[in-house]
Amino acid sequence: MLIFVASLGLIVVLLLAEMPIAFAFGIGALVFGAASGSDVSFLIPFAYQTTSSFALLALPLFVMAGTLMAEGGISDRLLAFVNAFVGRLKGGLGAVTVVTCALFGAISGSSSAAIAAIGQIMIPRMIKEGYPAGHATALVACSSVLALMIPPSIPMIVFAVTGGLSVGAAFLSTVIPGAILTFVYVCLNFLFLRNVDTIKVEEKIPFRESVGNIAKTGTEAFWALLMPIIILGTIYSGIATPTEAAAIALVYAIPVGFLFYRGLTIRNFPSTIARAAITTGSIIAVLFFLFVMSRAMILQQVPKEVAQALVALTENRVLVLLIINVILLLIGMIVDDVSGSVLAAIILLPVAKEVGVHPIHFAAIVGTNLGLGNVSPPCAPMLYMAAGVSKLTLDKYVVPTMKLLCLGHLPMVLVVTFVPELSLALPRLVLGIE
Amino acid sequence: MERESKQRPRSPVGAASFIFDPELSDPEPPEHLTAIPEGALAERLRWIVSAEAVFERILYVFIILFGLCLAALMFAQVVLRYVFASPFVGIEELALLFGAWFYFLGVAYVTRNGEHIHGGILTMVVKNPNSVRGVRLLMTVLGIVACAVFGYYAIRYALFEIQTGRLSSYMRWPKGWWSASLIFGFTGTAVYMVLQAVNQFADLLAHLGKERED
Repeated sequence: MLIFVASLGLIVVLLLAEMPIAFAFGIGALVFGAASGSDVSFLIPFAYQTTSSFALLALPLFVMAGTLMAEGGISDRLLAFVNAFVGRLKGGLGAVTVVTCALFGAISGSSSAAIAAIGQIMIPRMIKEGYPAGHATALVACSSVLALMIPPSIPMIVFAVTGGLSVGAAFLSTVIPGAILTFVYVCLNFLFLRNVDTIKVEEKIPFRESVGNIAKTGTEAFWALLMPIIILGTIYSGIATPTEAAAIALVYAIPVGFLFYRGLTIRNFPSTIARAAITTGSIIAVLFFLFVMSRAMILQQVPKEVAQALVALTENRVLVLLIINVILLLIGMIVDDVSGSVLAAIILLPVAKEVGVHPIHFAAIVGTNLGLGNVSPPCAPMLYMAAGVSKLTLDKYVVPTMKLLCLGHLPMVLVVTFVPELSLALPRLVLGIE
Repeated sequence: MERESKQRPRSPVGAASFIFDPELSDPEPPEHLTAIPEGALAERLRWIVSAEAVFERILYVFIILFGLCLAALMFAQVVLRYVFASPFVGIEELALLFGAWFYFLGVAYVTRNGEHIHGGILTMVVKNPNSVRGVRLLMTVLGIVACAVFGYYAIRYALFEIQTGRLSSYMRWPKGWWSASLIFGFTGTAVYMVLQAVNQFADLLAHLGKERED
């Protein structure tokens, strides 16, 4: 246990010193393996076989599908569609941003892709329309993590594969919390902006014209909106496994991008696939070294010892869940969502099972909590990415971010943790899990 | 480093009150360097740059090819099952073959472009750009160590599978075709990391020299 804590400390130091997450875990595994006497040659086959599992093939396929759709030009269509509903209200653009991030998540499954696609358009636009720049930055960053909760979610695929759970059930576990959080962020956005006088509001238009506008933008966004329906429809109707559904989504994205949205061309198609390969490769590198580390930990029975230590600390289920949440928050602040999912599945899933938490419920806790860590300063990769778009310094957006997190995401984490029905209702209804 | 001062006295205050200018107080953190040398170093390492350009094209083409093959195979599986009512189990094996190559060549390509996922608070804590450069170089060297050790065992594992001539369950193809992706992936990654370290070292030396001159 002491060796594990020391290795973990070393990993944290390396991560804070900007070492790529993959190699930080590689060094950690090396030190842990050497100190605990694990044979490194036994760790590699496990890491390779887990990385090359069939279920994990959903990851590159969803990444490719999402990248192709983003390049195809869905962002503008989705934004225009949501804007037709609420764009003419005070604070409407903020609501458009939140809802579009959630919709984009249903297509790409990646929060960084949501910031790149939606944030690049909406942050400058909101600032131009008189929104406080800090609010615009915070809103995009906080909404981007909705992509992790609305399926298909890359971290949920990884969590399910590592924890030996159903990917479909893990996907469903965060749907209701994700939808509620979307609603909460929309409400908080309107609440925070109610007294901001600098915001320009478009003139109201007659109801008939408004309906026409919704129909027009809806028609243009139709092909993008159909994609999540195809993905979820094929998975939950039993037509396809998540991996096959990802392939269907990818094959669907190609004609949509080329023929309907025309954002894809012969010239940019190969580079789009290469960009998807870069995203996939960066995740796989992390996964490979994490699986090495996890195998070493399992061989030394670290997860079991952590579970025993936590339960020995207190047998109160509520307290154990609160401690798990704090650990998840810290993990989310230090590593990316994919690494966090693997660590949670290896170290904390046994603890959760020990105190009687349903694994699918725990998947929802992980999915909701890691998103919070991704935007919580000081280590908040998604927040800094959004700030990279607005070019603001931390002091300008830290307060609006903390307001959104404390009034929106944090209460949601607690609700998901202590109301299991919220995350188990859909998996029970659709998949009949016990 | 010559920069024009942007500090101006605040107008209503007569005393020496200055607007804080972060540009002058905290120098810009240095940009992350990739494995591809630029400027004078690229001139000096011209033959490496040329060879790398060829290797990059090969990687690029094969990554795209494997990605598309993977997608086509998985889609074909659905079509075979529902349109022709005859799923072909070998497709899953083939998909994993393309998947493994897509993954591990992808890792090498990510290293080339310096796009590994990383976080950290280095530039918040360390303000001296050369110290930041030094720490980044150290991190790359440690990364090379991790990559070399695990790469060695990964390649040994792949060679073991190739030498023993194990066959896949359905296609009866040598399993070595799958695990050979590890050899190419780790070798490519290690080579690119060494190039990145060379690049960072040259950059650090150049900036240290400039600092001494200033």
